Order: sequence, then C-alpha cells, then structure tokens
Amino acid sequence: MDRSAGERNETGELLLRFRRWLDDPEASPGIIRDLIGLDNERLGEFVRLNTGAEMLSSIRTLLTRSRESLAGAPREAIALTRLATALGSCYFTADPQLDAAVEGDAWKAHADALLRAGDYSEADRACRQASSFYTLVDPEDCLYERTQLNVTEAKVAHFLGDAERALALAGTAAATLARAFPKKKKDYVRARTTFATILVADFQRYEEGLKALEECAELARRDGDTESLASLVNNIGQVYARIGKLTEAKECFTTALQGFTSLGLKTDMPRVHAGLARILMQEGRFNEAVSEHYMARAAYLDLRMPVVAAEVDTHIIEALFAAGRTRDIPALCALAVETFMTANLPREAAKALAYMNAAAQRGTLTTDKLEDVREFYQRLQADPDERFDFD
Amino acid sequence: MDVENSFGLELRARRLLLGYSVKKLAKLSGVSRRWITCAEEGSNITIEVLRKLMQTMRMTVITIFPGLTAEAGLADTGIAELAAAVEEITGSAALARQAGERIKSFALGVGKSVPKDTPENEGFNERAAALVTHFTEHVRSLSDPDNLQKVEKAVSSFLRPEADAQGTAKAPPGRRRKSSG
Repeated sequence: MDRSAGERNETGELLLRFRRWLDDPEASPGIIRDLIGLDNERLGEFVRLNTGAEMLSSIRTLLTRSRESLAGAPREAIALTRLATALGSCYFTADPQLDAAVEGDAWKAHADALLRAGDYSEADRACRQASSFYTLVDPEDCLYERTQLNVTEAKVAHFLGDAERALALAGTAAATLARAFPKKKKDYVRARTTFATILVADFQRYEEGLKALEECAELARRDGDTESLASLVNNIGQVYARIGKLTEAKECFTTALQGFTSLGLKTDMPRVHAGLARILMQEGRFNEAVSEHYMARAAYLDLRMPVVAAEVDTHIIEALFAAGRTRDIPALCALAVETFMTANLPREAAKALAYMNAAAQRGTLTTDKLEDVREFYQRLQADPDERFDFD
Repeated sequence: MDVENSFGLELRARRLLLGYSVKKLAKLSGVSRRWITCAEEGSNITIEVLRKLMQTMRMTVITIFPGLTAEAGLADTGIAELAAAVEEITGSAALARQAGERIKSFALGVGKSVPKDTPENEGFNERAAALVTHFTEHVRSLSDPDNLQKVEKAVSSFLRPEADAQGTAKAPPGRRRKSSG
C-alpha cells in the first residue's frame, strides 16, 4: 500500500471515529484532539470525505456541544470550537456568504470559550477573526450574530482594561437588540447587564449602573425570564459574599438555586452549591458545608466533569479538617477512589487522588498537601497535558 | 417438500425483490403475517390468500406444482397500497421539510442562544426581582469609599462569575510543577 493510500485510510478511520463521536461523545475519546492535530492538507481531505450537509451539521454539533460545556469545562469548549474554526476554513459551498457566516459563528463561539477560560488576549483575537468574517456577510443577515459578538467583545475589552471600548460595545449591543430584535429580550437583558456592570465596575457611575440593573430585573420579571433573574441573583450573591454580607449572599444563592433547579440548568447549579458551601465555611458551619459540597460533587459527576468533582473532594476534606472530623477522612478518600474509578477520571487526576488517598490512609494528609492536590486539579482543568509529579 | 414449496419460495422471492417486509406485505394485502409466513413456508393456504398476495405483489402466474400453475388477474392498485404510498411520500416530504428548516435555521443563526421554555414561576420571579432591587438600594446606601471599591471589584464577577464560584482561577506560575514525563 503506498503512502497516500495509507493516509486516505487513516483519514477514513478518523471520519468513522468522528461520526461515532457525533452520535455519542463518550464513544470516541480523543478524536477531537486527533483532528485538531491534522495538518491543513489532511483536514481538507477529511472535510472532502463528508457531504456538504454533513459537514455543516457536524460544525453545528461542535458549536452546540461547546455551548453545553462552556460553563463547566471551558477548555473542552475551546477544543471543540478550535476544531469548528479549522473545519470551517476547509468547508466551501456555492454560497460564499454562507461560508463566511459559518466561519464567523465558529470564531465567535471560540471567543466565548476563550473568554470563559480567562484567555482574554486570545479571545480578543478570536473576536477580531469573527468580526472580519461577518464583514463578508450581508449586514442584515448577520446583524444578530454581530450584536452577540459585540457583547463578547465588550467583556473582553473590560478584562483587557479598555473600559471605554467595553462600554461603547455593550451600549451599542443593548441598543441594537432593543431596536432590531425586540423579541430577543433575554439577549437584551444580558447585554444591558454587561453595560450596567461596566458602568459600576469601571466608571463608578453607580446611579446609572444600578438603575440599569433594576431595569433588567423588572424586564425579566415582566417577561417571565427566570433564567436571567436566577443568573442575576446568583451574581449578586457573589458580590454580597465578597463584601462580607453573608446572610444576603445566602438568600441570593438559595433563590438562584431554586430558579436553576426549576429550569433544569444543571451546569449552573453546582456553582451555587459551591458558593453556599463557602459561606457556610465562613460561618463555621462545616458539616453543612460538607453537605453542599457533596451536592456540587454529585452534580459535576452527573455532568461528566470528574476533574472538577475531584477538586470538590478536596474542599470536602478541607471542611472535614475544619470540623475536626479527621477520622472520617481516610474512609472518604477510599470511597472517592472507588467513585472516580467508574467516572473516567483522567490518569493524572487519578494519580493525584491515589496520592491523597495514600497520605490519608497513613495519617499524613495535611492541609498543605490537600492544597497542592487542589491546585493540581485546577491546573489540569486549564491544561489537560498537566502532569502530576509530587514527591 | 421442495416441489410443494415452490410457490412459497416464489412468493418470498417476489416479496424480497419488492423490498417488502412481512409486516408491510400484510398491511398492503390485508393478509395476516401468520398466513404470509405459512404461505412462504409452503403450508396449506386458501386460494383467496394466494390471490391477495399475488395481486398485491403484481404476480400474474405462480407455479403450484411442476406443470400446474395458477393465474391471478392484476387488480387495480389497491386502496391500501395507494394509502401506504401516500403515507410514505408524506412522511418523506415532512422529513425533507424538517431537514430543510434545520439547515435554514443553521445558515441563519449558528450560535444563537437556544430558547428555553421558561416555566411559570411568578413567585420566584417576584422574589428574585425584589432581591435585585434590595441589592441596588444597599449599594446606594453605601457611603464609605472602601466599601464602594469592594463592590466595584465584586461586580466585575458579573462578567465572569465561574472563576469565583468554581475556584478555577489559575495557580500562580511559581507553583506550577510539570514533569518531563
């Protein structure tokens, strides 16, 4: 078999694995990474093996799954959207405007994922890419997408310290949504909240910012937009927690949790449990904090996010230390090993867990070691190639 | 016996040629699946069953024994067959329309937020809106610049709440330890 025939077979094999992944992401682990690793020639060949409609549908699935993992696993979302941008660059139809729109959407999703992960410079670059593709599309055909992109650009500009630009982008986006898309009230609320946030955080224009926030809440209430309200209340809870208003923070978290639960927004729920647990820890109610952490852990396991769930385990052990329940720690660690064996915990994370378990069984687990393991889990979420190598 | 079963084999071959399942043939001919199976196995069946099956599958002649054939006049296309064909075409058209709409919606709006069915939850919405108002009033009542500065900083988390809530903040570079292996 000559080399090119061999490569064609390999590409065909990749296509089969990718199709399995489209049916069930668990069925074909590693395919996204393998496809990202292809050079342009091979990727072009891969795209040509698909029909046009199939490719379009595949890119759409990548973007949908990236949105689903955005809140809990932004690095995964980055990988998915990176692949979507690569496939988009090799995908051509008879309609160049459609091609540009597809690429613009892929880059916009990539920017969102990078923003979530805190890669602001890269997110800025992705925003520019998306924007340049949208300029190739009839402005009327992509006004909505461009407006959404403006909200992302506003957030990126805020984090990069360009407050003037951030305010202008968020204000323009909110005004465009109100004028051209009066039915997209949720989007308007999000854009206006971004605008209000920038007014308060970057310009100290409290009166205007707070008024805009009240307006958003009233609009969401009138519109029955429970999701936006739950999100607003969760954010306010975070603010209260940071300024030491624990009672108010707890009320906000409890309310937000009810909203997220009623809407079935699973990805938002564990974050609220974590917020509640932190407050309980500050109040010295360690056993209740353990319960909240357990709920967060169960939710993350349910969301198939074992590394984050393992990180929550370290918070549980920390709470047990604080509660003086050190005798419970070895049993918990042993149980965690059992739980995570069936949860597809990555190898390096499993090594960290085993290290923690061994220390717990020997009675040598300290809060310092615990912090090391937790930081390793956090780094692993940011970089899946991270290696566990503690002495 | 092979000879006796020749009409059964012919029926089965014709059915498979037309791409009919036993279920579909039963629906089209009005003969039960059990009788179709019997016919294909060469068991005794009535002439009426044989006629129905032959007409449905548009067979004019079938060999019962060597030298003995049976003929059946072609019936007009049966109502059942027409109904099934219409049903099939309608189903395909609906599928094609659905696929078309999906492609159109994709072309017009990849990346659009997926609308969620918001449950009726007025009690929650009222309470949540009141909490927002309470928050704005609280901030308005603050006069200490330090407290206001804390609020400013915390409000930034509105734009990236998960970093705070999930503890996914990156570790300081000094603490990164990465082995070569």
